[in-house]
Amino acid sequence: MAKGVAVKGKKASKAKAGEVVMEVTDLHVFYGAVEALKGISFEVRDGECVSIIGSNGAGKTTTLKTVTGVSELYKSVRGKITIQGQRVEAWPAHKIARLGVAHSPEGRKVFPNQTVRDNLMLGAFTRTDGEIDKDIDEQYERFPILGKRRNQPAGLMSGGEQQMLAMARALMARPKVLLFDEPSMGLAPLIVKQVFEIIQQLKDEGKTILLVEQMAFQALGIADRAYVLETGAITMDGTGSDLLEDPRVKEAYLGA
Amino acid sequence: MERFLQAIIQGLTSGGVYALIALAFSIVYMTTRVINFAQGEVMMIGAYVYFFMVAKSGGIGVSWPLALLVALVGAMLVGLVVHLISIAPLGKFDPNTNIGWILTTLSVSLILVEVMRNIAGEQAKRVDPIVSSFGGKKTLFTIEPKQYLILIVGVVLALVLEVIHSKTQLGRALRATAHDKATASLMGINTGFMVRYSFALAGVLGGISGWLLAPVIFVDPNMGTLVGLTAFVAAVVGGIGSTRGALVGGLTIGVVESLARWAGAGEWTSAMVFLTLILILVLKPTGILGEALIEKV
Amino acid sequence: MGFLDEFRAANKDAQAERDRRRALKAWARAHARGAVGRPEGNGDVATMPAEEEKGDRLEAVSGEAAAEQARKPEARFKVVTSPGGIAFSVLLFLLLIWPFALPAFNRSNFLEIQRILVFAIIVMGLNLIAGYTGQLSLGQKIFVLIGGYSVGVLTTEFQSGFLGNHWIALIVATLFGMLFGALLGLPALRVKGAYLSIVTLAFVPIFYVAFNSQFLKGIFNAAQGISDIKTPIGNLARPPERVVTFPFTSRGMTDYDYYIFVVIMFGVLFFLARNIVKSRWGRGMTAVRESEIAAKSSGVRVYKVKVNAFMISAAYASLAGAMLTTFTTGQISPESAAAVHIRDSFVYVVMMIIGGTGTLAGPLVGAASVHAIRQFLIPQVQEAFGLNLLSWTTTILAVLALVSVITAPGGTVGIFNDRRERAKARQRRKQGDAPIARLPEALVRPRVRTTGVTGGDIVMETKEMSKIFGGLRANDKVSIAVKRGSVHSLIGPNGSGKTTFINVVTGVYTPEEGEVWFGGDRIDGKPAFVTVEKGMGRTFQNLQIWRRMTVLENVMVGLHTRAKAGFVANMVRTPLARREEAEIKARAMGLLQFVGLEKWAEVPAGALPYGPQRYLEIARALALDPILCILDEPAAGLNPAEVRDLMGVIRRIKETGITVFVIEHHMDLVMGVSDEISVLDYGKKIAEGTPAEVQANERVIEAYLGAEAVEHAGV
Repeated sequence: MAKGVAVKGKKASKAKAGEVVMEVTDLHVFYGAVEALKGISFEVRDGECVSIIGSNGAGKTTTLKTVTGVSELYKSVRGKITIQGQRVEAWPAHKIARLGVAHSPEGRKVFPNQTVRDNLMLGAFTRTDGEIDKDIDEQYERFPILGKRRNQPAGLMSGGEQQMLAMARALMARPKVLLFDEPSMGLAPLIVKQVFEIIQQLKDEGKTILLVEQMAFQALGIADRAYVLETGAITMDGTGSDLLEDPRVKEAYLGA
Repeated sequence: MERFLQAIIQGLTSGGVYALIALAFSIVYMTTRVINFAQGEVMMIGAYVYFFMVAKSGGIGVSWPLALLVALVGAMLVGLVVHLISIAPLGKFDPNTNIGWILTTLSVSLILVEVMRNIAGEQAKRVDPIVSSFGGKKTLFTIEPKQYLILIVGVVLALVLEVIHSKTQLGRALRATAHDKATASLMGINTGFMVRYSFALAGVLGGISGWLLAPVIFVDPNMGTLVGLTAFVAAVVGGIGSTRGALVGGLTIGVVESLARWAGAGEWTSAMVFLTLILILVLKPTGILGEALIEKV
Repeated sequence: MGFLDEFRAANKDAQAERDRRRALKAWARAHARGAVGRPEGNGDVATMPAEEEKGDRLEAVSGEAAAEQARKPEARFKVVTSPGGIAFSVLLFLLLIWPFALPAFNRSNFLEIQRILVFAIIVMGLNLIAGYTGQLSLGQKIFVLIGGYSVGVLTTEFQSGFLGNHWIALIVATLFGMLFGALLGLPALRVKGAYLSIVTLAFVPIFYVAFNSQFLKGIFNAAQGISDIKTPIGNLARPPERVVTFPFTSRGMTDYDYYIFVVIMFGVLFFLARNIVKSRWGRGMTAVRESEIAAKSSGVRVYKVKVNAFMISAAYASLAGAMLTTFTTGQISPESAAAVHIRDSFVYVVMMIIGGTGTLAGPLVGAASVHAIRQFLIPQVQEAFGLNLLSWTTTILAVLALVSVITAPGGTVGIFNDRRERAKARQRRKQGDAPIARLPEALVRPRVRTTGVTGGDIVMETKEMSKIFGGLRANDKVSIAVKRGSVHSLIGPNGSGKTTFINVVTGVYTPEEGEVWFGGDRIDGKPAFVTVEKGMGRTFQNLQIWRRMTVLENVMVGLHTRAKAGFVANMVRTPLARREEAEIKARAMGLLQFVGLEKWAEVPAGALPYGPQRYLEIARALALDPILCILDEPAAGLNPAEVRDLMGVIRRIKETGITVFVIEHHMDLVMGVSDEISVLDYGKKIAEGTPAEVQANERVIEAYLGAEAVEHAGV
């Protein structure tokens, strides 16, 4: 599935289902004196869909940003992040992206002044194979609206359409693992439903997904396994359906 | 009438240089949102390096293509040094609320002027044009070939860069870096490299414009200041951050300057150029071809 | 409409305006009374924790006490009892007496001290526009020259006339500085960005040409300049005397007389700059520096603040230039090249940076140290080591500036301040939170504006309003009427035009068709600050707070339009300005208590967690005493518990009579608090009614909640 991605490392070439793609061990992140993450550990295995849920300010976005190396001022990191068998804590973001990690960031972050097609091309920036055009057509099939708008600047599209573009852009990298940061944020209920349908579809295709969400019900419903993040620490973990039934989760996140 | 036409042609030719430097301003602005106040001085250094390489007296006296090559490499390095000293140490910053970059680039520009004055002296140097050898006669509208060279090189380079930056992954990556470095790096783009690339390219453009300008005006330590400022006005008039805008703005400002001189503005010619800047700021702050930033509130 | 009707209508407007003014005065009076109330329980005035060491005694007490104190006349003398005030007074005293006390008194030392003071004045002005407002001028030398030439031309052209009088010439020089400051600033400051730097830099060569010009030789005498300037100092060539004479005798002044004048001017100008910085205008400047859009929506007239600051800085430079010409050589010329002027302007900036950008003491510290380096250190080293350092002066200063910007952006004074701040923070942590003064109920309630408001039951209304972007109808003939005192929500799918609607209503966009009415007036096409001043407060979807200002200051900026004292009044601290300042502070504290942020008052806003930042924006919007408060996705990013809190806050705002307009996706919140809901889809209003009606509306279900619209969303 991840052919064409420039992957280095010993496990990379023959990663089969179930192997650990991403492993985070005892991760601490500090913003100045504030400890945003207090030693969290989790892993994502090949072909899995893993969710991290938690309320705002729990550290979900910080987790993803740290894993993918998007640097921020005043941030210092301690702990171990292993992706594809490589220790990557000190790596810059673009190098981690080249390991086959596609991060669809919080707030969509499409490039508004560039066309839909250019955005997709940028998604394939790490690739040198000749199948980029074919993949773009594939995305147009999956997201017909993008095909209709291919030559429009992405900034003129609605929030829902931009979310579709952000997801398609991530897929363009033919990644080993897909990271979605709050794909539902600021979207109308109907669009949120569609977004989760697409994630379900990607999961059914066997893609490896790490989903960070505030909408606990949907995120747990879709996940094979899930973690609950509370003020910088993982307080619970288990299969998605177990956590859905957990009274503490129900109380805190499902508004029961 | 012929004098008027001549003034316009003359303006277009000198506009070629303004377009090149405006292009340099724009490219650096794109990736960093910073106006490199030392850009004019990068050009000045390029002109000096060319002079020292090519001059028979006071220089080494090599052939002009070699001298040009050395000048371009030199200017590119100076461009990178400007970045290294004035922008890189500031780390991540918002150019709108942190004005440190104005001071650092201006500092570097003043340092470059003083260094050159102490090395080469205040005295202006003369550089022979490469194209006067094409017969040496003045052509159409009594404009010299060396000036046509400026126009041709300026326009061709601007167009080539426009194509590269709009049709290739390099160009897309450049624009992505310009807009949002963090997200660009998630695409696997080495944004630090893109920024350095923009400064290096701006350095090369500065070197080319120094080479073009050296035979037309004298080479002296202060040559970069006024040319740099004029070219900056060109960049704003065309729309800063736009490749096409730099070309249009450069040619426009060249013509404005030339017409002002034709109309007898004399010593006030550069005042006319800066009044154009004021006019643009009042009428259309985004410039002729500048795109309004899509700012969501 | 007949003539008489028009007359009546105009008369009515004038009457309304008079009513409004009267009511405002009454408000101020009533408010002052309201603020007198002592906190309940203990009789002590509890002070706010961080304030105590702030230096300025006036600010060292809680809002209500400050309000009370400001009305007492002795409050104004308290200013000098702060550590900074004492240090400054001692400094001025030392400056005045050193010629008598020190043996090292000779002409060159004497002149250098004066030069330093004059540079400090120039840099103080520069600091106002660059340090506080965030717009760097690179051409202050222009104004210095304008000042010098003004004195030169006036005193030589009008010899014994009124304008030839030195003191009148100084005033005229200052005014000329302001005039040219306005001429350059008005176009350059219209747009965001570094344009002031460019324009000022670009005009340095032009002024050089002008002063040098053959065309203007009759005025400026071209390259020779003006050499026989009439100065009040008897004889500039004579060694300076340590004698005080009565200045206006026929003998003329001694150098020392003029020196006293310069010291006094320095003191006065310092005091004026300090007053601006500490007033609502100073906060406005910082707000502009940190976020223009937020400043605009809080009623700060961004353009005006920037132009004012630049004009003041030009005036400072011109006055300094005029004095400099007078006491040094008595002559002025354009010097050798425009490059010299660029370098001089740059040196002023270096002084500012090294002293400390955006600090009060920075300019003097910077002027003294840079001048000492340039005038003493470099020549001394050159002599001692035989190095050719003088020709590298600019490089040395530029390297200093680079190092300073990169390693210590706050400059010398900034380093000192940082250390003090850290010590204070440590102390605060050790002592824990000090008790917070309970404010009287009346202050802990947002107020709805009742004066000067017309428009009946409908507060805000759009009539068939359309906003078109390149053919796309983002809003298509939208008519929405918001009833006074209600909570009205606007919902709709993404891209349905909700944000566009807000931007039209708040005056960011001008609609192509239709009308927008607010408080009885038509407002479409009016600039944003008009709607703000009429009482429309808003929050932003992507938070726009001033991260480097404290939480309290953020709200105080929101109260900007509630005060009347103008720029000049704040500069000289009139009783009105002082009283308003204290009231603003008390009100801001009250609003922080209303949203529950009072314990964060002294914390930089950027250090707040996400949820409280949203509340801070709400408090700031309420500071306008709004008729209408627009909340743009206030629940975005809040967890369920925080959303419940937010619903409570919205209900409490409504209780005070303020109309609330909410854009939100969070259905629990919308259905829970709204009296009326409008639904947009594809820029058109498709439904309107109570929550129950909207939830039952078929078109809404189809477009927003249901199944049919799958098509347009892209799957």
